[in-house]
Amino acid sequence: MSTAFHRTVRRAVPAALAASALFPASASAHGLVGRTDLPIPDWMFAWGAAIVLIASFVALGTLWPRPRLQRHRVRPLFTVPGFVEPLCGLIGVAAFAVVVSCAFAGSTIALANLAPTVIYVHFWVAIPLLSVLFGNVFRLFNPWRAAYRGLTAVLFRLAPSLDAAPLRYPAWLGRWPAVAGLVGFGWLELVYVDRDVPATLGALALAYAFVQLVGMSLFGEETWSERGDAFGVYFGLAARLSVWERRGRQLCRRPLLSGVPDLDMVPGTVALLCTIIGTTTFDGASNGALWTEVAPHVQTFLTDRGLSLTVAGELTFSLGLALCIGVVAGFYRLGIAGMRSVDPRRDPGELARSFAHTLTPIALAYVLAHYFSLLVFQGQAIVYLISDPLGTGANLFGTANTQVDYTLISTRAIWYVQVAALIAGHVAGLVLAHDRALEVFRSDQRVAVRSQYWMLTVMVGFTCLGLWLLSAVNA
Amino acid sequence: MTRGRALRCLLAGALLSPLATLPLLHGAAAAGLLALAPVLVVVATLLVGRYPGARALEALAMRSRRRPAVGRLRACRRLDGPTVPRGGLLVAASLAGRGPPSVGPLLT
Repeated sequence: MSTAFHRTVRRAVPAALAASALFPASASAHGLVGRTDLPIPDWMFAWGAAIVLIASFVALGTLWPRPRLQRHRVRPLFTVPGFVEPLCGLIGVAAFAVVVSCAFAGSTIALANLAPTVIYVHFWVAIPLLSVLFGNVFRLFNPWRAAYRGLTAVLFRLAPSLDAAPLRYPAWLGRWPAVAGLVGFGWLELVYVDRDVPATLGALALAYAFVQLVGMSLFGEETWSERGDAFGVYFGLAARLSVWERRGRQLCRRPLLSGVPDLDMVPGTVALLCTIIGTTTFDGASNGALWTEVAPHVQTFLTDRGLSLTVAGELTFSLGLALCIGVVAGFYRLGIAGMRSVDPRRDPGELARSFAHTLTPIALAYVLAHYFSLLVFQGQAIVYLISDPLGTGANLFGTANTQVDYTLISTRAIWYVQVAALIAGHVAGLVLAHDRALEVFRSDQRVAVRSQYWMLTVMVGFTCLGLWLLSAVNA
Repeated sequence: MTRGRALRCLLAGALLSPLATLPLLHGAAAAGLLALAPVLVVVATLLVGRYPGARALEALAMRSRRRPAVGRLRACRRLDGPTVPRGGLLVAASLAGRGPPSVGPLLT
């Protein structure tokens, strides 16, 4: 016990630094401290990014005369062996069981328990980035799908007359359940006071798994996974940016970005993308000077109305989260309204849906830029947590004494990665918007060009906002 | 000037007005405003109905639309000149010059 205590204390100093990266309520979430040695001021990066976007816009206008991404061909590479999917599903279920067990049975200190780090860092941040690199990996390891498949395999053998999807999924519901799930997770991560209590996380993980099983059994595995599973939908969106695609058991290669225009624009898709960007925006904004100045006033106003300090704090942060999602959605709608001013015959809802997929690379760019330092530093914690997942002083794999290496990458390098991610994401968004505009406004070149000025505005706006948030957090 | 356009001009002016306060600001506020300056300028320009460089872009886009792709140009050029049969084409040409071998006796 004493060894465990000393080990915990020994980890406390780096852990305190890591805590600032893991839990946004602390002083400088995902903190880059001391990035004061940049050759030019932060705001100049925003100007530079705007210039890059404008140059890309001109280049696209002159060198990309026909749509290239709307219809594409995939190149089949090889067939994935049949045992891979059940094996990966089994690994996913086992990993889920380990994380939930640790959440309930492990240490109540968040940083000594495997569950919070795995959920907030490896699951929430690493999987989307892995999906961009390697395709929809989560679909293979999805524990809820695997558990459902296992259960139904047994049930259908016992009662072959059972219906795999007794209810028809309502068309109006679209991706709204996924939106609700992502808002819920965003609220948990950024607003809820007990967000780092392992047992709470474990209970919520179990509740989420239960909802997924019920959803799949009511509406069918595929339908629910592609509409209602918040994480499945989110990681699936990220995977659309990848060059790898699975068609049945065939692994295929497709041209870069060509998976994004295929996104079916069912209800809730625009809201889903705005939620991803808005949640990340609030994560950054809530650590900036503006929010830390405004929030206490709102909180005091609410406590004066008789609310407890905790409830007032949560309500304040909830309002901030909703405001950020609203601002992102409003800015996108402004771009759409601008496009419509060029061609008033178009329906704004239809235009919003036609160009919503262009927000996908932006959402991922925001995630990478905002959480990169968290992933690089706190992500290393898995090395010691895997040996001591419960925080009891165990050393299962001999790595329990390793520590987070804060010299792995310099703060300046992190800043450059963040800037590059934001610019690349927005240039990709611009490419997708340009390609779609050529398709949508096929009959009128003038309208096609002018409509894209508005999408350029949206991209410049999100880039400047992203860089401002990062610089405000890092200041 | 129509009412809608006047409103848009007013909105553009309102968007740009914070930039006028820049010399008075310091620290985070000034840096934040400077970081957001490009988007304010771009939105204001579009709001007043100006699309800088749009005509030049349209002309360039039309020109590149009319211009055939490089691959197609090469294909056209290949068809233009006389083709000297070589390799597989030579075999094909020589086979095409005579009829197929008779299979009559084999069938009977």
